[in-house]
Amino acid sequence: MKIGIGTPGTTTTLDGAFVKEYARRADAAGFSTITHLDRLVYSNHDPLIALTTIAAVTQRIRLQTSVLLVPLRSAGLVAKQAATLDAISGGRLTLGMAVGVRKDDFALASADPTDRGRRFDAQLALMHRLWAGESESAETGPVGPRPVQAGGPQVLIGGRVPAALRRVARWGAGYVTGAVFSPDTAHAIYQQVLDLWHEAGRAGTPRFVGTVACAIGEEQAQRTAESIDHYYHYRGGARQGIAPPARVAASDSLNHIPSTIPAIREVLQACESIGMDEVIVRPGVEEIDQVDRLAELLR
Amino acid sequence: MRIGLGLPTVFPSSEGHLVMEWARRAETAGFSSLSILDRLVYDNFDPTLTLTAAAAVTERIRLMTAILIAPLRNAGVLAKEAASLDALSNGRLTLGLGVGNRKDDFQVAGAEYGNRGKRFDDQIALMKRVWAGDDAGEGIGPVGPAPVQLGGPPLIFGGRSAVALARVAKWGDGYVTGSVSDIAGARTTYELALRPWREAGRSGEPLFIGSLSCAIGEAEAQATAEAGARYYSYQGGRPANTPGKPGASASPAATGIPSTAEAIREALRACEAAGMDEVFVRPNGVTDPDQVDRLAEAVL
Repeated sequence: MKIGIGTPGTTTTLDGAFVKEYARRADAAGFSTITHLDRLVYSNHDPLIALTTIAAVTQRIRLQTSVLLVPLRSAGLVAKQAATLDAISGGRLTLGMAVGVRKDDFALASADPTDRGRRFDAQLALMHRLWAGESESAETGPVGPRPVQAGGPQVLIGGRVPAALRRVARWGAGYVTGAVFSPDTAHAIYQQVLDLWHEAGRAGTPRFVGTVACAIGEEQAQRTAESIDHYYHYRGGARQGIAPPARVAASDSLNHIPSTIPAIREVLQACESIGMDEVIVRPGVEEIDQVDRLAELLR
Repeated sequence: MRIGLGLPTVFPSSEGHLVMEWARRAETAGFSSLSILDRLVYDNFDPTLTLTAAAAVTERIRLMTAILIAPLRNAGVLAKEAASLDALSNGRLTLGLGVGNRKDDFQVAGAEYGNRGKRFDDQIALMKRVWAGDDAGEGIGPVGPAPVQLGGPPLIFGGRSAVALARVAKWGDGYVTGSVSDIAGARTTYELALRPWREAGRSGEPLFIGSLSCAIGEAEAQATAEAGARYYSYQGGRPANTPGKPGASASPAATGIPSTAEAIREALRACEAAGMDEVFVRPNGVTDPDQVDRLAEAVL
C-alpha cells in the first residue's frame, strides 16, 4: 500500500516558502502523493494554485486534489487547468473530485446547489471529451493543451451517496474517502463501489484511496483534530447559525487522531486490510518537520 | 522604461518544464515581469497556473496576466486563485483583465456572452470585497487566503473602447495594449484611460504598458508572426490596431515583427517616446529558452 501526505490545508497562513519546502521534503522522503483540499469560503489556498506551486519544485511525487469541488467551477476551465498542470508536472496529476455540500461556497460562486449532481455528470462528460481532443460542440474547436496522461489526468471520485459511487464506475479510476471515516464505513462504501463497477462491466478494480488525519505529537494531534473540527464547523456557513452536520463525526475524531508512529501504523494496517491501494496521512499543523517525522512510516 | 518578457502562449505538453526554465532565465537576466495571455478554445496553457509555476521558481520578477478574460470565469473562484497566487508569490501578481470577444471561449466556459461587460463590473466589485476581507454577500463568510498586496493585486485593463478604458480610473492602475505595432494608435487608446483618470481626480497617471511581438532571429520572428496570425485568425489574422488589410499574409515584413537587436531597440525607443512605463517583449511561437537570453542581451 502506498503512503501519501496531505498539506495542512485547513490552516491559514501558509506562505510560498513553507509550501515549497514541505513539498520538497515530501518528494525527497518518498511519499507517493501530495494532496491539497478545496473550499471556497475558507482560508485555504486554491488547490490548483497550490499543487502547481508544488509541481514546479518537485520531480517525482504525484499531485492530488482532495477533492476539487467541480460544480463551483466551469468545466471548460477546469479541463484546461488540469491539462496545464498535467503538462507542467510531467503527467503527475490525480484529480480527486466531488460535488461539494457547503451553501456558502455555492452562494459565492453563484452556482445552483440543487442541481449540482446533474451538472457534475455533464461536467465530467465535457472534461473527458476535451482531454481526448474532441470539441465541446460543432461550433467550437478543441481546448488545449493535451494532457500528458492519455485521456486526461487520473480521476478519483469522492462522496457517499449512490450517485457519487456510480460515477466511479462511469468516469473514475478510483474512489477517495474524506478525512473522517472509520475503516468499517469505508469498507462498506467501497463494496458498493465495487458492485457498481462490476455491474458496469468494467475490468479490474477501482483504486481505493483513503485519507487519515494524524500528526506526530500529542499537542499536534489535538490541533489537527481542532483544524478538522473548524473545517467542518464552517459547513453551511457558520454565520447562519446552522449546526454543522459533521460535528459529531469531527468531534469524535478529537479522540481518535493517532499521534505516534505505532498508532498511525495500526490505522494504516486497518486500511490495508480493507483493500486500500493508497492512504494519505494528513497533519493539520503548520510544522515543516511533520513531513520528516511522518516519513518514518515509509521505513 | 521597464522591460518585461512575454511567455510563449503555447508550449508542447511534453515540454511543460520549459515554463520553469523560461521563468528562471528571465529572472536571472533581469526582466522586470513575466506576462502571459489568455484564451480558452485554443492550445495555450492556462495563464494563472503558468504564472504560478513561474512564481514557484523565482523570487523577484513580477507576474502579469495580459490579459485574463474575466467574464469567462467565476469571480469568486478567480478572486481566490489570484489571492492564492499573490500569497504564494509573496505579492508579485498584477492582474491584467479584459472582457474578451471570442464567442467560442464563452460557449465552452458556459458563460453568457451578451452581458459580459456588465458582469465584468460586478466581478471586479466582488473580487475587491473578497481581497479586502469584507463580506462577499449575505451568509458568506470571509474568503481566504489574504493577498500579500493590501487590497489585492494591482489591476490593469485592456480593451479599446471608452467604456473599457474608463475602468482604469474606476478600479485600476493602468492600461495594457494588445500586441502593439501601431504605437500612435496605442497612445490614442491610452488617452481614453487618461481622461477619466484626471476627471476622477486621481493623482499621477495610469500605467501605460505595451506588449511588443518580436524575436531575435529571422526564423524565430517568422514563428512569432505565424503564432500571432493563428491567435488572431478570428479577426483576419492581425491585431485590431494593426494598420493594413485583414487577411494579409503573416510574414515578419507584413506584420512588422522586429527580428534583430537593433530593430527591437528601435521599437522600444518608440514605445518609450509614446510614454510607456513598461513593455513586454513577446517572442510568441518560440519555445526554445535560449530566446530569453538572446532577447535579454539585445534589450537589457
